[in-house]
Amino acid sequence: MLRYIPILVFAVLLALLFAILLARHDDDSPMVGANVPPLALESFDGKPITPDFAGKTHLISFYASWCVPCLAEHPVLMQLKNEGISIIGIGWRDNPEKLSRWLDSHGNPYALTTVDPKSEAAISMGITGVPESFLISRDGVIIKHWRGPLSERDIEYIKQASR
Amino acid sequence: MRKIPLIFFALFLMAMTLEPRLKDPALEARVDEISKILRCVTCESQSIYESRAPLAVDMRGMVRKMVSDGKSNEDIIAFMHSKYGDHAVMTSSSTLRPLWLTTLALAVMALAGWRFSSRRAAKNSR
Repeated sequence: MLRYIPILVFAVLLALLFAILLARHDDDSPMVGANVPPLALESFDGKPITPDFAGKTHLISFYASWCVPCLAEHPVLMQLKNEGISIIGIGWRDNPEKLSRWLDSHGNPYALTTVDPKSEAAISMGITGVPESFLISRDGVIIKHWRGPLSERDIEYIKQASR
Repeated sequence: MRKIPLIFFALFLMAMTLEPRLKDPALEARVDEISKILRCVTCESQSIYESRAPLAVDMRGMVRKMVSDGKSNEDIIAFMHSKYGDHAVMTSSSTLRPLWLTTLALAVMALAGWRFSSRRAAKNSR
């Protein structure tokens, strides 16, 4: 049994190093504290949309129908919708037909459903993938950024910030 | 004759990776120059010039749009830096992070391997 200890220690160290290498940081976006930039989006029927964030706290949610973690996050977004949070959905690298079907089958938590066909909004917000979310204050300032899916424990924070 | 579907498949693949380029070669050269400075934020050690990752392709598209809109190289790099931080620029200090972590990983592996083999050798010699 003792002879396996070095291998075990080696495996644990290796796993730790890989964990450090692959670690992603939640709040490392330089966008936090900045004003939300004008986002040139499209509605599902191809019309240009520039959302107005003034007067109310909003959550911006980048998602895609092909994204498995987005499906894991979806019940949290539905819960936030039921709590009265206004969520702007931005479909990234996806098409409106697939997004519509996806929202029909899983429920639509979004007050506004849009797409970002050329990733202009995605790059303007500094996202690296989906899902990513941004909480926008009523005066249009980005107050929090999440890389990866929102979880149950984020709901209370978002509710508090929206009051 | 049998090669025709293969040729069509190769042409299809080429068409998938082609990006619309600017007509002015000087502007396109600037797009390349800026793209070599900006990091592919989803693939760590490649610039957006080298990477074929979807976001890198879209970032090159954005660089191309900004160049044709008359923005300077500095403006474009500053724009990407304001969105992604130091990580967006290939020459920033964050380039070194994966390098030292990889070196550390290799050192730990070498140390563990050496320790394991020396113990084994000592055991065998007994």
